[in-house]
Amino acid sequence: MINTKISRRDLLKGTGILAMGALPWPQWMPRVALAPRDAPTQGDTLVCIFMRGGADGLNLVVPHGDKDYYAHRNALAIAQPKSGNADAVVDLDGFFGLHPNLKPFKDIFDAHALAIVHAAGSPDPSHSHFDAMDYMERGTPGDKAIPTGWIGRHLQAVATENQSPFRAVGMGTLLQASLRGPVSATALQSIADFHLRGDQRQVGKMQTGLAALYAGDGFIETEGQQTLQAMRDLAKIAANNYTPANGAQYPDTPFGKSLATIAQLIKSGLGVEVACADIGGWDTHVAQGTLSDGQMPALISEFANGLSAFYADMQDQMNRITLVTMSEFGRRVQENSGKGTDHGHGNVMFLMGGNILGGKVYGDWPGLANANLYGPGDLAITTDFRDVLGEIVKNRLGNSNLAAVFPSYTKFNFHNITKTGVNFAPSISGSTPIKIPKLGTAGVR
Amino acid sequence: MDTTRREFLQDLAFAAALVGLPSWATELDETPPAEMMSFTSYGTNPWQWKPASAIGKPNFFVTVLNRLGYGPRPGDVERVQKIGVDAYVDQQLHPETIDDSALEQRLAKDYPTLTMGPGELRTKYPFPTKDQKQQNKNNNNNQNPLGALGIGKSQPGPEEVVMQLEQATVLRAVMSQRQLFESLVEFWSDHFNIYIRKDDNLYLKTIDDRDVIRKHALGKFSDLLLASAQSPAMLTYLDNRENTKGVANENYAREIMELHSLGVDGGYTQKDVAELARAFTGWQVTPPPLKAKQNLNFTNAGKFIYNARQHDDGAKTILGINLASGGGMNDALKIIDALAHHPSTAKFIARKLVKRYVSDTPPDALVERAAATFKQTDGDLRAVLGTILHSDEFNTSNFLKIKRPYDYTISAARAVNAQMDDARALAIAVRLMGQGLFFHVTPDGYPDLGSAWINTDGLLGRWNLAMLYGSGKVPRTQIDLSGAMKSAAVKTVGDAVNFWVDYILHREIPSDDRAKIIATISSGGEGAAFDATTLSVLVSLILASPHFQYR
Repeated sequence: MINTKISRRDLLKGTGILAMGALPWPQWMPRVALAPRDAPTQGDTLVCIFMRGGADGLNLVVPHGDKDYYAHRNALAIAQPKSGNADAVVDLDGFFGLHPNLKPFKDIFDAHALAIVHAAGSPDPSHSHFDAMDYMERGTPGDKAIPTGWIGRHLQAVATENQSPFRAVGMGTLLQASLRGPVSATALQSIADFHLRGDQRQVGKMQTGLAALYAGDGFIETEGQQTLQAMRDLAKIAANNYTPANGAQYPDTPFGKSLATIAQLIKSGLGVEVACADIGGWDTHVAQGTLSDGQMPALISEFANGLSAFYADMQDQMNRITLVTMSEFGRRVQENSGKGTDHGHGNVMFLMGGNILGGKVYGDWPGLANANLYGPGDLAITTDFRDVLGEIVKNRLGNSNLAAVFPSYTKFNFHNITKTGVNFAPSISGSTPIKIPKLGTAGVR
Repeated sequence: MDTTRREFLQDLAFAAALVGLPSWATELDETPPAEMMSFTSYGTNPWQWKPASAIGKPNFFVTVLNRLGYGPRPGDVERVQKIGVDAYVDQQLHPETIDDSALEQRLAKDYPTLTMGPGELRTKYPFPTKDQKQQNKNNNNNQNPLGALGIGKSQPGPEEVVMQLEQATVLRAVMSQRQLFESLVEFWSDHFNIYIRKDDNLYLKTIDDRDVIRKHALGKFSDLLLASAQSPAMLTYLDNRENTKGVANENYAREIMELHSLGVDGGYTQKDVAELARAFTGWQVTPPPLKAKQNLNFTNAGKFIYNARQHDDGAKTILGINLASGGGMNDALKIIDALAHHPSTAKFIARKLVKRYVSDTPPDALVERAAATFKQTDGDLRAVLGTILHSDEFNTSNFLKIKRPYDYTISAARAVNAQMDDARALAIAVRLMGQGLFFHVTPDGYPDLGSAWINTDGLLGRWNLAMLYGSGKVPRTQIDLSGAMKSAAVKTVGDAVNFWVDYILHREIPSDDRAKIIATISSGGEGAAFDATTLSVLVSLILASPHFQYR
C-alpha cells in the first residue's frame, strides 16, 4: 500500500555502505560466556524481526525448482540458478534458492547457523495487514479476546529474578504488540539519546523529583520508574563509541541501527532476554522490482546486510542467541498488472543462531500449481508459525509451558529446527582469538 | 514563510534538547524518519491499565476541556464552570457560532497554502532543482541531522507546503476557540489516515484537510465517506488511482470497509473486497502527476476524475447487492452509500468516537446508544457526539484517558499560556515524539490507547519537553511564568507550589505529592522563602508529573 520506492533507494544510495560478507560459524569454536547479567535467564536471548507489510517470500527464497513459479511470475521472476550469472537465484538445495541480494545468507546457511521454513504463516485467512499482524503478534490467529502478545505471555510464564528494564526491549517509539503483557518492556529509539537534557543542576533536580512523583502504583507510574531505571543503566554504557566486533558494518538505516543497538545492549550485560525490531516497506503492490529496480531489491539488501552484520558482530555470543523473522503474510503468487503483488498467505521464516540446525529449508512444499493455491491464489501454509515459535520457546528459551504462550493451540508439530536443551558451557578465558575471514564485498545493488 | 538560518539553528537546538539528535540521521530528501516508515502494529483490545490508587480528586471541568479539546488555557476552567458543562458542549457542537476571526486572519496571513488548489501549490512550490538542493545542503552546513525529518529546507518547495499544514494544525489546536472541532479534525485525520509523504500527497493532503476533513467533520458521515473516496489524496495514498480494468488493485476497496466503515468484523468477505475493487476501477486523479520532477502545466492536475474507459463495467455483487453491468460510476457510489448506512458502520464509528472521547474501554451501553443515534439521524455526527458528550458515562470518565504525544504537547502549551510567533517548533516536537501530523504510514491512523504511548521512550520525550516549556526554551515562543505569578502574592515555597498546581492542574493533588514537589525545589520546607531560580524546575516537574498525563 505504501510505495517507498524512491525513499528506500535513496536511503541506501546515500549511505554507500558496502555489505559485509557473511561469516560462517565455525563448529569447533569454543563457547564463550557472556558478560554477567542482572540475572541469567534460562535460555537464549531471543531476537525477533518483524517484516512489516507482507514480504514476498516467493522472491526471497525462490522455489526455482517449481515450474509453476515461472508460470505465475513473468516480470517479477528471478532466474533459475546458473553458474556465473549473478542475477540468478543462489541455489540452496536444488529446489529452493536465495534472491541474489540475500547472498550474504548463503555462508551462514552453509555454516548451519541459518535455517529456512517455507510455506509457513498464520492459518487465519485475513488479508488485512493489521488483522494479520495483530494475530501473529498476539500468537492467537482468529482470536482477539486475549490482549497480550505471545512474547509478553512467555515473559510472564518464566520464573526469573531479572528485574532489568531491558529484559524485553522493542526498538522504535511504539512497543511491538508481541511484547504486550504484564512484564513491562522498554521501547527505545537509541542508546545515546536516552537521558534528560538541559542545565545539569536542573536535570539533577528533575530526576530526583520525577523519581519521587513516579513512585506510585499506577500504570503511568510503573512505566516512569522503568524509564528512570533505564536512564541510569544506559548512562553507564559508552554509547557513542560502539564499535561492532569483527569489522561488522550495519547498514546506516533505521533497521541497521536497531540491530546495532540490540547488539550493544546484549553485550553490555543489561539482562536482555528478548529484543524486537521491525523492518517496513514490504507492501509491494506496484513496481516491486526484481534485481535492482523497484521497491524490493534495496530492501532485501538492507535486510540481508543487517542480519549478516549482526551475525558477525555477535559471533562470540551466537550460541546464546536465537533470531527469528516473520511477516504478517506472503504475497499473491500471480504478479499483478502493476508489476507488483497483492496480499497473499504463506510465507518464509528465517531462523539464525548457534543453536539452530541450519543449512536446510524446512517444511512441506505445497506447490504453486493453481489447484494447490490457497484462497484467491496464494501460497498455502503447511507450517503454522506457532510450530516454529513454539519450538523456539520450548527448546531455546527453556519454557515448556506452551499452553500459556499459545493458548488454544494444541497440535504443535515441531520440525526439529533447533537444538534441544538449554545448556551453557562455562566461560573459556584466554582462548585464541578467532580469525574471521573477510568475504567478498557483495555490495548493495 | 522561509526558514532563516537562525531559525533553523534554533529548531535544531530544540530538537536536540527534546530527544537528542538521531545519530543515524543523514541528509535524505523526502525521506521520513524510519520509525514512521516502519509498520508498527497494535492490538484492537486495550491493554488494561489503571491509574494510581492515590491520585487525588478530579476536576471534571478540566476533564471536559481535555476531552473536547486540548486542555485549559488560563481562564477556561472558570468559563466552563460558569456556563455549565452541557451548555459548553452544545456551544462546541456548533463551532460556526464561535468567533475565531483573529486566528483565521493570522492563518490567512502566515499560511497561504491553506487556500490554494493542487495545481497552484505544485506550481508555486516546485521541487527544488539539483542546484537548489545543493544550495540548501550548504545552507544547512551539510550536516543536517534533521534532514531526515524534512526540517531545515530553506527553499520553498513541497516541504514548505507540508510544514504550513502542520503548523496551521498545531496553531489551531493551541489557539482556536473551536476546540471540539479541532479535536474532531484530528479524529477524522486518523480515521481517514493519509501519509503526507507519499508521492503527490505532499501537495494533496492540504486539499484533503480542507475539502474533506474540515468540511465534513461535524456533518453527515455519508458525505464524509464519499468525499474521502473522491479525495485525490486518498486515491493516491491507497493506490486507487492505479486501480484499473483487468487486474484490480484491492488496497482501497479493502480499507474503506475494514477501516473507514464496517470495521474488520463488519461482515464482508474477500470476495466483496475483490468485487468492490472492480467497482472502484476508473476512479482516478487528473494528470499530470504532481510528483513529476519536471515543471509541466499543472493547471488542471490533482483533481478527482471518473475515467469510464478504465472502469470494469461488468456485473458485480457486493455485500449482497447486485450491480448490473453498465453501471459505470454508480457502481461504487451505490456501495459507498450502502456502507455509510450499514448497521456495522454505525456501531464501528460509535465505538471509535466513544473510545476517543470517553474511555480506552468503551462502555457497551453508550456505544449502543450512540450507534442508535447514528442510525436514527442518518449518520449526523453532531447528533452522535451529542449523545456521547451528554451521557452519564462521559460525566463519570475522569482519569480514563491518557494524552497522546500530540495532546500532551498542545495541552502543555495551553497550560502555560504560550504565545507563539510560529508553530514550527511544536510541529517538530510532535514529529520527534512519534506522532507527527499526517506522518502515520499505515491506514489505521495512530492508536488511540494510552497503553500504546506510555512507555520508556514516550515518557522521556514528555519529560524533556516539559523541561523546555519550564525553562522557556521553545523557539520563537514566549512563556511568561513570572508574569503569570505576579498578581498572586507568592512568598513561600508552599505558596508557589499551590499556585502552580492550581494554574496547571486546576485541582488538589495528594498531600504526599505536594510534599515531594516542595522537597525537590527547596531544602527549607514549604515555609521557606520561594527562590525564583527554582521556578522553571517547579513548572517542568508539574508538567512532567503523572497528574498531567491524563486527558
